[in-house]
Amino acid sequence: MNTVSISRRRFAQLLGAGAAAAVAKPAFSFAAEPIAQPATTSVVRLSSNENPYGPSSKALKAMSDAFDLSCRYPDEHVDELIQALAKLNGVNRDQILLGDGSGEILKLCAETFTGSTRGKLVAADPTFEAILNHARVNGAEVVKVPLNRSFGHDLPKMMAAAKEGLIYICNPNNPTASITPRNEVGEFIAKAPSQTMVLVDEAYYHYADSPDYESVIPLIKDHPNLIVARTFSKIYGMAGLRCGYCVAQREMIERMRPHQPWDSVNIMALAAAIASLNDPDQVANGKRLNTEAKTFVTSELDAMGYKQIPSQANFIMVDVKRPVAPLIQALKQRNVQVGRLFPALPNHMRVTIGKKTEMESFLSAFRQIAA
Amino acid sequence: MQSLWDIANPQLRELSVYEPGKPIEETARELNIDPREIIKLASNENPLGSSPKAIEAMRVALNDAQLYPDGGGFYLRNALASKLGVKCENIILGNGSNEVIEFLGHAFLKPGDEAIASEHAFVAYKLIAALFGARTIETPSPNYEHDLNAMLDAITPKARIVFIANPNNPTGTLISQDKIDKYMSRVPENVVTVFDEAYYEFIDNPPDTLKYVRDRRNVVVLRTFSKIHGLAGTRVGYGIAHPEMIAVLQKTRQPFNVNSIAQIGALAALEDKAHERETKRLVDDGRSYLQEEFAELKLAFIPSAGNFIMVNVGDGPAIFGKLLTRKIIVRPLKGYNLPEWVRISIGTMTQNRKCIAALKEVLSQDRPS
Ligand SMILES: Cc1ncc(COP(=O)(O)O)c(C=O)c1O
Ligand SMILES: Cc1ncc(COP(=O)(O)O)c(C=O)c1O
Repeated sequence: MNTVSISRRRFAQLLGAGAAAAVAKPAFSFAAEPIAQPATTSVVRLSSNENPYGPSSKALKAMSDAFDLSCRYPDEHVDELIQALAKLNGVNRDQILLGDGSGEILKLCAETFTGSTRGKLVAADPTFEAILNHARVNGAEVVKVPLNRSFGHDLPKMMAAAKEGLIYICNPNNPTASITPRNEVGEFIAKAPSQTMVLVDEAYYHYADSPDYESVIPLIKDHPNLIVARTFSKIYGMAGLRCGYCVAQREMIERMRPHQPWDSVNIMALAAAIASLNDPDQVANGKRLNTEAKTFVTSELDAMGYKQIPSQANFIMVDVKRPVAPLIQALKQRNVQVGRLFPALPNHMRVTIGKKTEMESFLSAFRQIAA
Repeated sequence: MQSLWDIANPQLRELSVYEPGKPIEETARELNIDPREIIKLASNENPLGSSPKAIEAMRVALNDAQLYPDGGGFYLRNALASKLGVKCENIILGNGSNEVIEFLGHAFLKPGDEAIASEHAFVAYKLIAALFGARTIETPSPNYEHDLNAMLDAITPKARIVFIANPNNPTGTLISQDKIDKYMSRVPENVVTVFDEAYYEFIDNPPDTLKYVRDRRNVVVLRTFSKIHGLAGTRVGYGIAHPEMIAVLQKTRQPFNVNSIAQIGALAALEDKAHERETKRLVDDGRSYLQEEFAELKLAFIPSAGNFIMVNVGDGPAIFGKLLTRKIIVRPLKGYNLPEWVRISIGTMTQNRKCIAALKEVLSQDRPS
């Protein structure tokens, strides 16, 4: 294939195709060949828990303005974002570490705290798997503890399995969209031995509105072993740009920092993240639109007799009452991409909440194949 | 437990933290002037700016910023492969070529191992080795050049990686094809040789190391879009090696390490021959000018193959400080154990002239005339 001579218009198509390919495969796959997928606008992507409304217009403007800086190393602009995040989270600047997406934060945590001599990784099953792979790369044992019956993390079992090493708590959890209640998490953190590191991944924090949910960032001041990860990929609509961060006590941050190559966050991501934090509408609108589209699709599914795990995120986990794998394929043939098979829940389909029109397309395709 | 350092990996204590060039904004604040008045010649960036074709493509790509990037980097790897005459499986993308150095540490270094680098070599090698608990053997660098024979002689059974920066940052020295070939004929197969070619495109007759990739030798060639293409801010570099090597390195990375804007920008930059040509011309002219001026000023300098020059100013940190008050940021090299020297990145002709004028002022203060 000749990819060297391509027109400007083709670039946009390439991006679409590339991105579509990336999400059509499991998160941790490095196949060179993207799964062939025509890059047409008619493909409905409900597979990667992206934000269908995109970044804040302020972020887009800031990135446009940042092209003057793209020839410079980005280090000069890191402080401004750290400052804004410290203020947002009510912590000191030295308690924030930025990452090349929160994916890099997960990698850094695995590198710093797990390994054959450092300790194992304890995670739920199913959960977001990236950190499991990183722990294995470091030679660490990985212990999977099934979610409890309400799809929360089984914290007593996780604690018992841990001793040293790292416990990963994804809250809200991907792929189930479920939360682990705040009193359980709080109690768990209070009891966790100090040599056990606890990483709480709050990637979907903004989408959770249950009174039983809350962030554990306020607990950091009393718990030197607690790390909280956040991302700009979800509510801020910046998944392509790669920016995430974690909050922890200063000593924890200092332990993780050397594991990171410098200039990890690019200038576009820095500019967009700083601008996004100055746009209060981004979060409020993102939540509202997500709730509207989610209410629409879940009530339709309820009416069709398909239950879902109650969702506290920008995606839903639907009980399709039969093996999901063929349905995923059938939807794909109808140009609707949904999440991959999660072996722990083989009869569930993960569907990202897109725009309402996209959910209509999903429902009509789903009606055809489920009939 | 007194401190977390008691249980953290001991090698991290000694690890010095990388110091980037002095920030423009910070300098402007200190001097109480407009940041635009400041000339930063401290980070070996592209004086011409980013490739305009890259910027145009990146603008379009902003429309899809909410979508995850192609984690496999399919289009960019293919474009690079066809340009370089290798296959897609020969290429790994990094969040800057720096990240590929980290992959190498991750894949090959553990406590007790040794990495070999030259004295005054790019500092990342040492930092990464320390991070993974490996010891760096630094071989002497006569005339500030890498001594490949000394590097070969330093190889013990514990050696895993030899890092060769060609040209090296900060010295700017280049190793010839002949020396590379001799080195390759002697280096044991169980040692990985890294040719860091971040400044490759600035070299007039660049030595060929890709032939060793094609021969399936254990070499990794590093290149970047940060320099010739002016995309340092977007973060994208790559490693070229035989497919098994790439497969090993791929295991160590996170799924979406290179952002989508950088991938699109890099693809377009590869097509921007005019920008590449102009950048090289600007750097060549600037280098000639600066080197002539240094000679005139009787300052020792190392002829450079990169977009920067190392010059002996007597007291590097002092001259750095004095240039700073004249709104010019260069790089002192104390961290490289070169306290008499500073490294000056080649700028636009106007910037180079201002830099020389300031340097003259600063030096005449010190030297009785
Ligand atoms: C729970 C969770 N954590 C982290 C990530 C990684 O996000 P990013 O690297 O884009 O910040 C994801 C992505 O889907 C996720 O679902
Ligand atoms: C020799 C050398 N290698 C690698 C790099 C890293 O470049 P990047 O991570 O921007 O690709 C640099 C940057 O200055 C360098 O001088």
